[in-house]
Amino acid sequence: MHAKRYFPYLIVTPFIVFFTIYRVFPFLATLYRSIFVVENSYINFVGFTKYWDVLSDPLFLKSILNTIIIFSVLVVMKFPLLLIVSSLVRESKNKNFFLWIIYLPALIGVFAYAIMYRYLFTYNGMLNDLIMKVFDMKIDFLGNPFFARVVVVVALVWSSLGINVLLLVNGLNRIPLEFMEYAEIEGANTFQKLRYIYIPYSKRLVMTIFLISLIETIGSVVIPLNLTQGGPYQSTYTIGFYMYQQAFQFGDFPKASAAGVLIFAIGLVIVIVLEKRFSYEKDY
Amino acid sequence: MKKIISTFILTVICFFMALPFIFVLMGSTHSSGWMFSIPFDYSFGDSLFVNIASLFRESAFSISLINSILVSFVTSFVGILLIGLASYSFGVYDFKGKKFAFILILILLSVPQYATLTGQLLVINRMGLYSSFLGLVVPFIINIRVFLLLNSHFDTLPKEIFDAARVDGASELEVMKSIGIPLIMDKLIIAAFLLFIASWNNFLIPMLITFDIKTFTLPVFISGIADPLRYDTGKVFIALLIQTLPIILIFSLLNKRLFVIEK
Repeated sequence: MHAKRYFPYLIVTPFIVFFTIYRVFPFLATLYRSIFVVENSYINFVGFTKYWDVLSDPLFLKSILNTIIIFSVLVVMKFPLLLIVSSLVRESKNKNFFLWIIYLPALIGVFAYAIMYRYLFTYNGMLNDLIMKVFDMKIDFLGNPFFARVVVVVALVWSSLGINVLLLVNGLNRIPLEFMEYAEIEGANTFQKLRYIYIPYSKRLVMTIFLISLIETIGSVVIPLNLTQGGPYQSTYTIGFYMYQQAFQFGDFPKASAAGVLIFAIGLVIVIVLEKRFSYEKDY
Repeated sequence: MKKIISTFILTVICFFMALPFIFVLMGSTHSSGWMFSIPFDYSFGDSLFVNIASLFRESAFSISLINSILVSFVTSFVGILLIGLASYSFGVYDFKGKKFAFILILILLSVPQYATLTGQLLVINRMGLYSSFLGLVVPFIINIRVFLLLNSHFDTLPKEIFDAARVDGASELEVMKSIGIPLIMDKLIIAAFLLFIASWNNFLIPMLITFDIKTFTLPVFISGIADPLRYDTGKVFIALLIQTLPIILIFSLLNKRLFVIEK
């Protein structure tokens, strides 16, 4: 009987140890770093002054604004695409092939495709040549604040579309078949099916995807770092990239830690509030 | 007619999804300067092997390739061991503190990954893992996403079969070895591949903790040589291909199985 009592603890211990050291301690260390500052080998308690530094930093406010803009563009771009692709893929004969191509970018490392995009979107690069052929103009993708944000959004959408489509397709498979047959008999077209069957049914899933995308946008460090370096004119500073800059460009670890804790808090509040709000609504 | 339109739309979207790969593939067969050719050259070039040779001539590249392979194998092997055992324990047993640990795991999953970046670096520094092989492995063994994935599969196993084995006198270890693991073997293998890919793609923290060429990994090396204004672009594209090829291969092998697990 003894063996049974201790066995679960025994096999879970290594995981918990590593989890505590490399996931929980870093959070405590970040918290600690943001309220205690080491100066001349003295540890000073500075309270919330570092948080005030961050919150009153115009660059931080700008990075919040940037994150909001980038996320708005992302929503406009991703969600119509998501609904269209997942409803088309579901009915397609070559379902697995299309899913394969759409899912592939999600497995390629974030840094790798950020670098690919940097080459692809250069002023004299391939994409501008294609645009030149069709529209007879060139777009300074990485030099114009608006288009730089769009490129960041394209990179974000490109990387996560596959996972989200898969989530939605698996979820939509639970729609009763009779519904679709009934719609077919009544002569509903693709748009009507999208509007009256897919969207109401997938509301909860779409909400989850919305949440994940928001968290991803707030915390994105690698894409701005490898694609635009925050520029031009600091237009692609996300909140995550602001934190990275404070730590590794300016060497201000306490301030970066304060920003990190703020990101943590923002993420947690968003998740809790949205989860609460939407778990009350019974969709189906 | 409708089928044709929907297939057409999907094909266009897939073309744009694949465009960066096509671009990299094209670039890797051209000599330097192709990036800036006017008018733009949409054909495949003939200097693939020249590019490969010039890449392998860089000593940092071979070192970082070997490092990457070693690090990914060790991380995924140790990782699947720890995560597999823990998710089995979480899924099959009820024990004290399980709920608390689970909530903690969920919280740390749902906030942005790099929110605690400075703290992670502090911990890695304090343990003396800067610029060392262990530093590239140990901090990244735990992968919460894979843990939750496996846990959800262990959770759905019927508890009766475990009890039946216990009544027959099997010890807990035997139950795990002969019932728990075989039932979920295919998921464990997929999870191991996911861990491999995660480690293979790991970039930000390895970049921040390696200062020595001897501990470079492939992503760190690539980010060092990638710059659209530099002239030797063919080399960069080859390196990017080598970075993405193993993933594409693994993914082609798994394909449908992966789609089943990601529910």
